[in-house]
Amino acid sequence: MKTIIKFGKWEMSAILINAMSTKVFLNFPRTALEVGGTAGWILILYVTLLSIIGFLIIYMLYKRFNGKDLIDISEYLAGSVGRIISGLIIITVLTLMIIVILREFSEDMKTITLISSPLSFVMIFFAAAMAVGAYFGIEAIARCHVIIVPIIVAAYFLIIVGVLPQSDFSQIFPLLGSGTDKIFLQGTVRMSFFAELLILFLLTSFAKDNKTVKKAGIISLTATGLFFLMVVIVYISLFPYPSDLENFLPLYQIARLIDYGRFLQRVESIFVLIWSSAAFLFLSVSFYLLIHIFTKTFRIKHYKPLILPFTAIIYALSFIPDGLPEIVQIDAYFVHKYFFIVTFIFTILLYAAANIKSAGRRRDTSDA
Amino acid sequence: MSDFGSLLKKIFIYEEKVKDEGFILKDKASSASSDIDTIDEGSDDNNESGKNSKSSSSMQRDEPDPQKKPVSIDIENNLINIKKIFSYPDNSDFVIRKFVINLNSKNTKTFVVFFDGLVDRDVVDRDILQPMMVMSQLKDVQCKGSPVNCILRHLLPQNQTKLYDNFEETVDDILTGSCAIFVNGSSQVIISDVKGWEHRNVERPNTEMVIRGPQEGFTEIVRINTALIRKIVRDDKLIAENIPVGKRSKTPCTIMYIKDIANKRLVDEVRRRLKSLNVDYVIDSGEIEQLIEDNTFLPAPQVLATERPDRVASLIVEGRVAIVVNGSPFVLVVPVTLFELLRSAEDTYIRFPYSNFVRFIRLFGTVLALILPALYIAITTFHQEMIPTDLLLAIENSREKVPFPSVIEILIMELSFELIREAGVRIPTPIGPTLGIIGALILGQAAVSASIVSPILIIIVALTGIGSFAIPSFSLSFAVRILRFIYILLAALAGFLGITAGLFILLLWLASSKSFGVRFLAPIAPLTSDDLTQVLSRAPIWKQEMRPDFLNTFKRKQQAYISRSWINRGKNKRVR
Amino acid sequence: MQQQISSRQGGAEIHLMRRLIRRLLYLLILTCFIVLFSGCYDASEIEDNGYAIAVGLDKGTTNSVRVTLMLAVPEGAGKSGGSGSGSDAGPEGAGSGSSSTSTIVTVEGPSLYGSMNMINASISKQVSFSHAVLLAVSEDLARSGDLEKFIHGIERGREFRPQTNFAIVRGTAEQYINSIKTVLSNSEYKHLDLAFNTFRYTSFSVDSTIFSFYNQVESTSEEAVATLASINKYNKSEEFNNDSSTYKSKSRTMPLERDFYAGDLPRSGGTKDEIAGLAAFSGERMVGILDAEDAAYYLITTGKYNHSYWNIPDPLKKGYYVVINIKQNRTPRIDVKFTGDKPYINLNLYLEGDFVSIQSGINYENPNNIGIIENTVKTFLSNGISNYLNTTTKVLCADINGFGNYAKRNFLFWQDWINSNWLNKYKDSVFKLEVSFKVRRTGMMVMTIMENGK
Repeated sequence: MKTIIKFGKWEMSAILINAMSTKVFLNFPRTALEVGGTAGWILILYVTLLSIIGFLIIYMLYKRFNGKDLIDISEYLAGSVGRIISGLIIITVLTLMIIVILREFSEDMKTITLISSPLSFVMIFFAAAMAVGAYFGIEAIARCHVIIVPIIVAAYFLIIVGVLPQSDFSQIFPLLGSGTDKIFLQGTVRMSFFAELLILFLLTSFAKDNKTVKKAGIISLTATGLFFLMVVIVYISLFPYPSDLENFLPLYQIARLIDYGRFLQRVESIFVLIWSSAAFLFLSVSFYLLIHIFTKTFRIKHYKPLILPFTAIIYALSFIPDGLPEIVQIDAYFVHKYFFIVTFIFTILLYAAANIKSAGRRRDTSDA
Repeated sequence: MSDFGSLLKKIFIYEEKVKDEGFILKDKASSASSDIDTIDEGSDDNNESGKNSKSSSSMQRDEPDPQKKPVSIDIENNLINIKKIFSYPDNSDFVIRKFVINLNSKNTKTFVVFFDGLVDRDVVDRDILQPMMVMSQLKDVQCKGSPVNCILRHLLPQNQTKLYDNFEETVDDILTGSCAIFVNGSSQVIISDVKGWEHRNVERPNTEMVIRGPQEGFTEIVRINTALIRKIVRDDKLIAENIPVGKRSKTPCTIMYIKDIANKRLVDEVRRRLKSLNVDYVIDSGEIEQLIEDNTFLPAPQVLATERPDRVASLIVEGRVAIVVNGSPFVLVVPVTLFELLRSAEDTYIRFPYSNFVRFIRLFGTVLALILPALYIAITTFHQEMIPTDLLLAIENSREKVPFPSVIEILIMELSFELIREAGVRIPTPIGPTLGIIGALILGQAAVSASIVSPILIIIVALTGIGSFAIPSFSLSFAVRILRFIYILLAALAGFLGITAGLFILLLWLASSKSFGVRFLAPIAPLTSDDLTQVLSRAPIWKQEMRPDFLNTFKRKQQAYISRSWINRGKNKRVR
Repeated sequence: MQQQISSRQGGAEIHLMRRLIRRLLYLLILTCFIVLFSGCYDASEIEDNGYAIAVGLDKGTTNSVRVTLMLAVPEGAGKSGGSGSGSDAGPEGAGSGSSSTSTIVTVEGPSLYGSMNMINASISKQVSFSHAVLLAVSEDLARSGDLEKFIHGIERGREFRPQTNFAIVRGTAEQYINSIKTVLSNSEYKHLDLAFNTFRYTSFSVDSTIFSFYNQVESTSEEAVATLASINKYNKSEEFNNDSSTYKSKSRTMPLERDFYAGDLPRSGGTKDEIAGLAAFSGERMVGILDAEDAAYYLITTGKYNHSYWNIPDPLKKGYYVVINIKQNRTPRIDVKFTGDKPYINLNLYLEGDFVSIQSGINYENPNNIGIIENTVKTFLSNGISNYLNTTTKVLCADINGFGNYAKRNFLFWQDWINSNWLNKYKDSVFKLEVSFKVRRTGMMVMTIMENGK
C-alpha cells in the first residue's frame, strides 16, 4: 500500500511516549520496586541507558533501508517465508500487548469507579474507541496524539508536583536497595519496559526521513525514562518500602493524596479522564498497526472490513484471564519481562542479517 | 438468475469504495495543468420543479425551444417569440413598449421590453425612450450600417450596452434587470443595463457585533458586496470572478481572491466545485455552503459564513477565497480551520492583552457549553467523592424533594431551554430577546419552587446557555448544542469514562476531516510550522510576519521583520 | 435500451439493499441503547447515599467490634413522621444523640464492613464512607492489638480518604462520637475538620491521618503515633481540679497549659469533645500516652512544628510568666551513627520566637537582656525534650520520632538494614541534644514602662 502520509518527529515521539508510558498508569512503579527495592530508580536509569544503546544499534543497521518497516526488511531477507514468520511474531506480540492493556485498564476502571458494572460493559468503551480509531486511520490517530499527549504529560507533572509537600525523600535510603546483582543482572531483562519501541520500527514507512526516526526514538526514550524515574522516586518517598509493594495502582494512590485545604481534595477522579485517554490512544495505534501488519503479511488489499472481526476477536480474548491477579501476572512477569527479546534481540538479528545480505549483494553487483 | 447471483455477490463480496484522497492543497510553484474538469452535463430526473417556469416546459416537448431561436430581422417574429417566452400577458410585470423612431428618414418600428420592478424606470424613460423617440424626430440621423449600430452610436446615451443575436442571452439579461431594444430590420438586439431594483441599504451587521471596528455589513446585491470588499482591499491583483450557479436560477456568484497570494490550485478547486453544481435553483449562500462542503455529517462547519466585509478582507489577504452569492448577506470563505471558527472579527483590532483574554474566555465558554452538563451528571452520580463535603450536603438538601433522577432533570431543563431559544427567534423583535431570557428565568424559578428541578441545575443550564452564546460562529454553536446532548447521555452511562470516550471519538473525527484540502485541525495537527502563535494565544501584531503555513500561499511573508520602523530612533537611521 | 433498463434495475436493487441494511443498523443501535440504558449500573444519586462523617471502633461485648457511625442528615429529611428524626438502633446498642444535621447509629459485628451491611439493612440509604472525616478507635481496642484486623481493610477499600483523621479515644469511641456537637459551625463535618486542624497553631496534638498512621505502622524505621481525644470530664467550672495533670512529675509548682491529657483540661462549656496529647504505638499495639507538652516536642523534633504560644516561667521573678510565640526557624538537623551496637543520635533544633506578653514587666526587650530569656527558653526546652526522648526510649521503647529514617543512611543494602533490627535497638540510644533559640521580634511594644513610670 503506497502511502502519502508523512509524520514529523513530534507525531512519532508522541505516539511512542504514549505507548511506552501507559504502564506508568498501571502497575509499573510497583514492579520496578519489586525488582530493585529502594534502588528502583537506579534500575530505571540502567534500563533506559541500555534501551537507548539498543535503539542506536538498531538505527545504525536500519539506516540503509530508508522507509522500510520490519515486514519489508524480513521480506527482503527471506522472501515470503520471512515475511510471514516475522509477521506472525509481531501479530502475536501486538495482540498480547493490546489484550493486556485492554483488560487491565477495564479492571482498574471497575475497581476505581464503576464497581458494579459488568466487565463487558466497561470494556465496550475501550473496544469501541479502538475500532473507531482504526477506522479513521493512522493519520487521524497521530494528530490526536499530538493534541492529547501534552495534556497527559502536563497532568502527570501536576500530580507529581502536587504531592511533593508530603513526600519524604529519606525513604530512598538505603541506596542500593536489594543489591547490585538483583538490579544489574536480573534487571537487564527489564529492558522490556521499553518493549513498545517495536511500534517505531513498524511506523518507519510513515516517517519523513531517517533523521525523523532517530530523533523520535531518542526523544521518546529519554522522555519516557524521565517519567519513569520521577514516578518511582516520588512513589518511594510517599509510601515507604516495603509497604508500597501492596498498592495496585501506584499513580492513582499518589493522586489521592493531593490535599490543599478543604477544597482541593480527592481530585483523582479528574485523572481518570487523563488515564483513559492514554489507554484509548495506545489501543487505537496498536490495533491499527495490528490490522496493518496483518494485511501486509498476508497480502490482503483492504483493511477496513477486518476492523469489526478483529475487534470482536480481541474483545473475546481479553476475557480469558480469570481476574486482575492473572492479568497482572501476565503483564508484569511475562509481557514486560521477556518482550525485550522481540523488540531488541530479534530486531537486531534481523536487521544485521539483512545488512549482510545487502552488503553481499552490492559486492556482487559491483564486481560484475 | 443473474440478478440473484449479482445480489449474492453484493452481499458477500466486499467492494472497497474508491477512496479519492479528495483535494490536497499542494505547495506553490505549480505551473502544471489545472484541475478544472469539464462541466457535468448529465441530466437528472429532478428537473420537474413546481416553481413558475418562465419558459413553459410544456412547450418544450411540442415545438423547438423559443429561446434557442436567433433574433430575426422581422420585428413581428421577435415580438411573438418574446411574448411566448415570457408568457405575456400572464406575466403582469413584464412590460412591452412599442414605438417608432426616425432612422435614415424612415420610420422604424421598435419595441422595448423589461421587467417592471427590476429596472430603474427613470433611467428607462429618460435615457432610452426619450432620446430614441424624441431626439430621433428632432434630428434626422443619417448613417450607414445596421440600424442597431446607428442607434448605439448616435441615439442611445446609456453607459452600459451590449449586442446579442440570440434569445438565450437576451432572456438571461432581461431577467437580471436589463431592458432589451428590438429594432425592425436588425438581427441584433441591444441590451442596456438599467438595473434598479429595490434593495436594502448598507447597514450594521446583524449577527456579528463588534465594539471596535467598522460597522458595515453586507447586503443582498452581489455588486454592492464585491464593492465593499474591494473598497477595503485596494489591490490591483484582487480578482472578482463571476460564476453563475443554478441551472435555472442562474444566481450570480462571485469568487474573490488575490491572484499572487492565493494558491492557484485552491482557486481552481473552488471554481470546479461551483461550476459542477447541477441544481435548478439556488436561493441563499447557505445552500451553496452545503453543496460544496467536504463532509455533510461533520458537526462543525467547514465553510466560514460572515456578514462583515472587513473580516472577509482580512481572510482574503491571508490567502483564502471568498464566495459572494447574490441574494444573501452572508459571504462564504474557504478554507477554514476549527481555530478560525473560534475567532471573532475583533481579535486583530484590539490590543494584545485584551485579545488574548477574550480568546481565553471564549474558549472557556465553548468548553462549558459542550461538557458542563455532562460533567455535572458524571460527578454527582458516579464520582461523589470529588465534591467538597459542604457542597455535597447542600446539594443533597436541595435534591431531597426532587422526584426525578439527575439525568432526567437535566434533559428536561436543557430541552426547555432550547425550546425557549427557538421560540424567541420568532417573537417580534422589540420584545423578543428579553422575553426569551425572562421566560427562561421565570420558568426556572417556578420549576424550582415546584420542586421539579433543583436550584443548582438552573445555574448549570444557564451557564451552558451563556457559554453557547459566546461562540462566535453561528453554525459552530449549533454543533455544540447538539453534541451536548450526546455527552449527557454518555456521562449518564459511564461517568468520566463515557465523556472521555466521546471526546476522543469527536477529536478523531475532526482530525481526519478536511476543508478544501486543508486539515481541519491545522496548525496543531499536523504541526505544520513552528509558528503556533495564531492558535491559542495571539502574538502581538508586530510579530505576525508569516501567513498561515497550511494555506500554501505564494507569498508567505506579510510583514517585514521589523514592521514598526519607527522604533529605530537612532541618529544615523532615518525613517523613510 | 436493454442495458439501460437492467442497469436501472440494478440501481434500484442497490437502493433497496442499502435501505434494508440501514434499517437493520438502526435497529441494532436502538437495541444497544435500550440494553445499555436499562441499567446504569453504577449511577447513584447523591440523595440515595447516606454519608458517614465519623466512624468509631470499640471492642464489642457480643462480637468482635462495635461500630458507631455519625451520618449526615439532609435538611428536608425526617420532618414528617413522629418523634425522633430517623434514629435507628441496630441489633445491639443504643443509638441516641441526634441533632438536626446528623444522626448516630451503633452496631456490633464481626468487622467494619460486616457491620456496615447491618446498618445498610436498617436505614433507608446506602452508607458511603467517601466523606468520612474522622476514624476514632478506643484505647482498649488499640491496646489489645486487634487493630491490625481492621487497619488493612481500611487501607484496601477505595472509599476511605487517605486524609481522614485518625484518633485514639480515652474511653469509648461511641461516647466520644455521641458527644460531638456543633457549636460554632453549622455541621458536624466542618466542626471535626477544623477541630483536627487546630494542632497547627496550638501544637497540642499531631496531624495523624489514616495514611500516615498506616505507613508508620508498616514502616521498618519508625513507629506510629495518633492523636489523643476524649470527652471533657467537667460539667461546671466549680469542679475543676488538677489531680490528673502531669505537672507534678515535672517538678513544677503549677501546671502549664500543656500538662494535661485529653479529657482533663480544666474547662467547661462549648463542646465536650477534646483533643490533647498523643498515643504511641509499637507495631500496631498501643503502648502509652503522652501529654500535650510531649506532643509539642514530638512536632519539634520531627520538623512538623508550626508555631504556638509557650508560657515560660520568668527567670527573675517567681510566679510570673513570659509568653513567647515560638516558631521553627529551620528543620532540625539529625544525625544517627552507630557506636558498636548502640545508636548515637545527634539532634540540632533551630527555633525562634516573638514576645507576646511579659507579665513581670522586666525589660527583656533590651538587647542586653534578651540573652537571659533566650537561655531560659533554651534550658526549658532542652529539659523538656530530654525528658521526652527518655520517655520514648525507656518507657515506650518505640521510635516514634522516626530516627530510623536517618539511621538508614548508614547502610547500603536493604538486607543489612533489615538485619540491623533498628526498632529493637532504639531503646539503647544515646542522645546529644542542642537547642538554639533566638528572639526575633517583640510585638507591638519595644519596652515596658511599669506603673507610676518606673
